[in-house]
Amino acid sequence: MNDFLKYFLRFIVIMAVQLLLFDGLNLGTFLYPMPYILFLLLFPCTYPSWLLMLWGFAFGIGLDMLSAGIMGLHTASLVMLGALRNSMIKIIAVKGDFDDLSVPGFRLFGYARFTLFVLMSVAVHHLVYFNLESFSFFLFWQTFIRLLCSLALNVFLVLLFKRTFFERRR
Amino acid sequence: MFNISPLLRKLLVLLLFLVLQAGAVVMLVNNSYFQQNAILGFIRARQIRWWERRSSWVAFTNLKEINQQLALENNRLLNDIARLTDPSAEKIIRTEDSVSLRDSFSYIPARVIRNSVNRQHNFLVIDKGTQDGLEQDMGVISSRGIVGVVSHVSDHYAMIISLLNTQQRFTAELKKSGTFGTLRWDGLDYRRVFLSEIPQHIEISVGDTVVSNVFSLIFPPGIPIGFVKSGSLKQGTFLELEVELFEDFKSLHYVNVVSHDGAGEIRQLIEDQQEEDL
Repeated sequence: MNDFLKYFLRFIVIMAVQLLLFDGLNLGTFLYPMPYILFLLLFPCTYPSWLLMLWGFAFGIGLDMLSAGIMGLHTASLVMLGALRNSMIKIIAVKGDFDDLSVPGFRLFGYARFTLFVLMSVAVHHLVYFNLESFSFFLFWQTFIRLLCSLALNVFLVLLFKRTFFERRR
Repeated sequence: MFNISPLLRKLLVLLLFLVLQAGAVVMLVNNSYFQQNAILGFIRARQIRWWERRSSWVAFTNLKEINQQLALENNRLLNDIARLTDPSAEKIIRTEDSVSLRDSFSYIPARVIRNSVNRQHNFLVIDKGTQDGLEQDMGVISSRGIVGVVSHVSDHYAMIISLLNTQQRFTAELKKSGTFGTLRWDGLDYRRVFLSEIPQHIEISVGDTVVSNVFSLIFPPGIPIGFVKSGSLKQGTFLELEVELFEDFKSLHYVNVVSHDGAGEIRQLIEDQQEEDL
């Protein structure tokens, strides 16, 4: 229950930051800052993926309703990320890397592997998001470039926020 | 917890994934965007207050530019007044039984409190609603061109589908020849849109002005939109023109909502006709 409360608090704070700060930023057509992706990456490594999907669904619906955009975009992307996150942890983890409580982070995986993990996660999210947003392959290259630019920005933002606010120092 | 086989567990997780993803895509396709107001009216009201505060701050920092715009518009209006009060132009004053009186446009000024230019489907929120006489499907213009169309109205606020929305189409015409075509945005650059379906025999030169269409029910005719930047032949049949907008959507703070007295009647007429055809 304690854990649930912690996650719920995170839910509120990250959504508020996304809505009040990042949704209002106009960085042009090619850059859309979405550091809220970090929310799903902060759950422990062995957190069951069906719960991840439910968290993603709830977060996405909240974001879709409160931001001025099209319903279901963030939801679909986050559900997809929730479904695939644990498989991606398996890809980058070495046996014996983590126990039930460890959270993905720089200290657990090291800089290179954790960055790779964030890159893959944000890429999954963005693939769904931008393709659903344009909803056709008519503007394929344009969508692709938007995806790449936002990908670079968001990987940077997620790593930055992880390092600054969610990494336990000792 | 539950003692189920790993295979069954995997299947259940897959099922949950499919259900959630289908839910999201159904929402997306139904585009139930405007039901949100009903569900979350309370939160929306507070959120709009935040947007309003933010936009008033942004507007304050842009006062110089806005002053310039207003001065330009004032100038234009003064010219119009001078023209209308000119005794030699007396013949254009309308009488009670004139047909054009019914076809008149009026304007409701409003302030933009939320705007975006960097999505594929951009919306605006303005601070006027049903209590100020706004209705769905009214056009929205600014001093520098057309802005969009009202899509949803609450008591004090209205939501506008921006011209910068890849799913929205408008009609516009070339001022010189009067040829009309479809105006659409490709989702890339907020400074330009495309005017397509122009027949290829029409002579076009770079710099031609594009204005709103006479047949439009929501905009007054002749509102300047932009100028032709380049053109190309599409599918060997029609010209597609790249139009640079006069409007800068990034610095849009004040708009006018167009109320067209005859629009409802004309729409009703068209609907009746279509019902008869069926």
